[in-house]
Amino acid sequence: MTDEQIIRLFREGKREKAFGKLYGQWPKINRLIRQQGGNRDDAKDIFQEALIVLYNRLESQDFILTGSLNGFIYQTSRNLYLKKTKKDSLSPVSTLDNEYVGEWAEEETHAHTQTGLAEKALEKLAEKCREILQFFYMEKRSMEWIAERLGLKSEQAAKTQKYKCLEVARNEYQILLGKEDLV
Amino acid sequence: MRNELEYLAEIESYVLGNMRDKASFEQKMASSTQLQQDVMMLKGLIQGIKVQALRSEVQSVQQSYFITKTVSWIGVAVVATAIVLGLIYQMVNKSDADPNASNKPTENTIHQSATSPQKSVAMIDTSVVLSTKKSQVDKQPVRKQVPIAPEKEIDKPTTAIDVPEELYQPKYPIADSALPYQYYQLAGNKNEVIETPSGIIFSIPRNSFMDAAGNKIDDAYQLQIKEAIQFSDIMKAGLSTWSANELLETSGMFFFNAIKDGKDLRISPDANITVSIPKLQAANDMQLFDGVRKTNGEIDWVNPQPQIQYLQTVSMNQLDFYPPAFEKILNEFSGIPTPDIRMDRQIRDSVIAQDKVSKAYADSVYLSFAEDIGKEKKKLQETNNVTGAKNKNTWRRGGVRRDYLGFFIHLFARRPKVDKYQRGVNPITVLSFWRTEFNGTILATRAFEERMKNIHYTCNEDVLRCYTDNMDKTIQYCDSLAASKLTGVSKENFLRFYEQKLTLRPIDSTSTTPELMALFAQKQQELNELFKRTSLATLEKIEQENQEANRRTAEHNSQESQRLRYNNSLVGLSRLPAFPWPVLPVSPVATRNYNTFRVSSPGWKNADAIRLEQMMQARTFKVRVDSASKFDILEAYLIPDGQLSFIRMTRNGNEFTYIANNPADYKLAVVGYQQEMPFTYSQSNASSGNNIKASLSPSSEQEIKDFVSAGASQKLSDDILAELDFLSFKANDAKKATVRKGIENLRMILLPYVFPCSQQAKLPPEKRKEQEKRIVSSAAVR
Repeated sequence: MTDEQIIRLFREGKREKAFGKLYGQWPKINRLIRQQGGNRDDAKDIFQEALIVLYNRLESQDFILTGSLNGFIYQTSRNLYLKKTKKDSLSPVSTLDNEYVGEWAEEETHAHTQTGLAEKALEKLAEKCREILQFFYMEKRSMEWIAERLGLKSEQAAKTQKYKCLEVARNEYQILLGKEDLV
Repeated sequence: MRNELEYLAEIESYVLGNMRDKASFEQKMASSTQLQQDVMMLKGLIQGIKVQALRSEVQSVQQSYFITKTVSWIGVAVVATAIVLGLIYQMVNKSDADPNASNKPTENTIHQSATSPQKSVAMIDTSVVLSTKKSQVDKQPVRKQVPIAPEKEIDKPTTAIDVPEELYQPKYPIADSALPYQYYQLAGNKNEVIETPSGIIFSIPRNSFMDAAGNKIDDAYQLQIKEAIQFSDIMKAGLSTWSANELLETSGMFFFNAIKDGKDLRISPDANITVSIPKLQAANDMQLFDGVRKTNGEIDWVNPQPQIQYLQTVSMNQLDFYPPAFEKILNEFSGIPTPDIRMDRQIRDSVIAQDKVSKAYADSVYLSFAEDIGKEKKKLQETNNVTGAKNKNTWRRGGVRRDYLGFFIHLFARRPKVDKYQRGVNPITVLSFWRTEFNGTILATRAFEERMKNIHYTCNEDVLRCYTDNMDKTIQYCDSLAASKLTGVSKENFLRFYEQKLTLRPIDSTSTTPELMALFAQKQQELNELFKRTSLATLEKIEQENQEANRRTAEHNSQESQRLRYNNSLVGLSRLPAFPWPVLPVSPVATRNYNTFRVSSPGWKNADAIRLEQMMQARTFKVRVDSASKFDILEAYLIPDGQLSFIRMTRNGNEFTYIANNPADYKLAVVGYQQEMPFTYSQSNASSGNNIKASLSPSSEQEIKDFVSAGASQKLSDDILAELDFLSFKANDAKKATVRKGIENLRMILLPYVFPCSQQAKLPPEKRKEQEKRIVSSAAVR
């Protein structure tokens, strides 16, 4: 499947299928992380993160495909791993096998690590809260739909609930950010 | 708490881009660090929510990936083990084999074959007609005409199939007479194609029929047709689906006959009439049987003929060879708003027909893109018309000059750089073969239509040439040629076409190929010339118009400055109660005189003169024009009695004002142009102070001229007439510029569709949509 076809799948909302196609890259990434001294679980985590980074990038408005998707995943995985092990600053792209030459993989890696704290804050939320937020922000569902799905009284109730959840998450996030600053 | 939630809601609406008054929020944000932080945090949280959701999706994909991998490895291992065990088992068994063992598989085979008829019977129960006929026809593809059998001799089939009674019992022997005739008036000297209501297509070449004496029919004749395509129609009409004793699976029945002057015609031996019947069944072994009327009135079906294997062609009129989406976008944007709504209507009236654009119009728009492919372009020095500002950066593309509005669009819309020349399929080539003369060639097929879409995406005209230069070859041959010229995804696409193995030829395509090739070349040349001629003529016309506009503007400006100087001098002079008014314009450079005073104390001094009496004479004229916005051009003039110059009032929206410092009487004339139609309002002795309400009414240019020049001196009258001429010219120029702008906007939107390899086409769809919106909205807002 070509890059264009995979991108089309993402755009059509067939994310799982698209990710499935990209999993063809797994052996290569596994090898890469092993070479860098990581184990299989590291490779799994890193590959997962790289796919998320790629998706975020594809979703951004100014996205133009300048290299190959595989190249992007490879470079992002490498950067993520290096960042994780704090071995080095982000690696140069020159060592790559001609597949991908570009800089956005690096920018994305950095941006991605910033969302880690927000995720931690969200983990403190109750399951129902997380559901509301995901339905609304990720799946772009209407409040009416959400209210019905979660058995809330009305659309307004769902809305209030959503803001309350957001408020809790914000407070948690603020605490985490403060801790980060202290470190 | 409530406030807190509202605060969050506000930030959220900003982050999600739903906020209406974004600017004031941003202003607020600029002054509040807390708000900035909160916005950042919410953005971070939303991103976090998305990432969380994505992570769980990716995890589930990961899981299923590893499970599939594991399962497939286990599968491989199991198969390998089974093979090894099987081999071992065989080797072990071989040594002590039973002599009768070899019979076992045979028994098994017999058993299976014994069960198969049962299976097929079970299946036949639900689809009796299909299976029975199929097996019989397969065995006896060609049947001789059988003697007509009396009704009672028709037996039930000997198979154990339960056939419904009505299928084989001819209850209504001449019931087909109940079917109505359809009549078609055709011309003998033309190739005719007709499609019946049920979708049967008769293709009748010219001179296909002859009369009883053997003379070919060269003029009008009639075709009688009866049809029974649906099974229910066949049943109702009592038509049998029996051929002698065999049951047929029918795809439809029809009767056709040609008549002239009430007499039946015969088909010429060399005629090549074809009939295409809609496929109701999946079967590919359909044959055409002749109907023979039996003595009892019933029809028997005899003499089956196989289908002809020709490439199915359609009329060029039904095909679409424009670049994909070209027509859709053209339809969508043909009413693209130009500077304002009334101009929009103007464009529609002048260039566009109704809701859906006509083929001729679409062709002409498409053809206009030929220039973007051209080799040489005449550089046109951009000049401005009267309505535009000076602009050296004006860019142009295509044969139409960009006017001032284009410049603003260019400036503010931040359009991406337009490639100077486009790489792609030349519209001239496409329009040269997209003609009914090419009906019946491989180009007039749905298959080629599909290929053409891909050809546009290759942006390579050589690929198109593979087909147009080989009209006598098969489509598959052209596909292979095309694939050889391409690389990457395009190559794969054409290889896939090649795999379709379209090796059939259209009927009679080869005999006319040289003629058609010549016609193709000729049409290309003609279109090229037409295009060059038209674009050159357009460019020249525009250049002439620009020059004329410049000349007239310069002339007008010089007259105007002279007039202003004169009016200014009057204002200065009016401060002195001196009469009569000077008869000639006075130079604004006056010799310097001095007022000399004696000073006897220190401090501020003021040299002044008391002008109360004269200042009292200053009068304000105010004119309010009804529905001023509907006029393209609107001016109000005050014409003083006994003076040499007129005054153009200052416009502010629908209001015109002038402060007069002299005691003259004024005539008021308001002139407006709406789509070049003049409208006027006049008042002989305009009163100052109160608002004058001017409601303009349609008028002729002569009426305006007569009114303003009545009683005026020759010079004033000439000046006013020149001014009015200029106004009318300006109105005309504005209209032309708007029409051009509309067309040019449309072209800008269409460009990426016509040239899929252009820079604009490479923009992601949403960016392109944005750009289209920008073009439309920038044209709508002036």
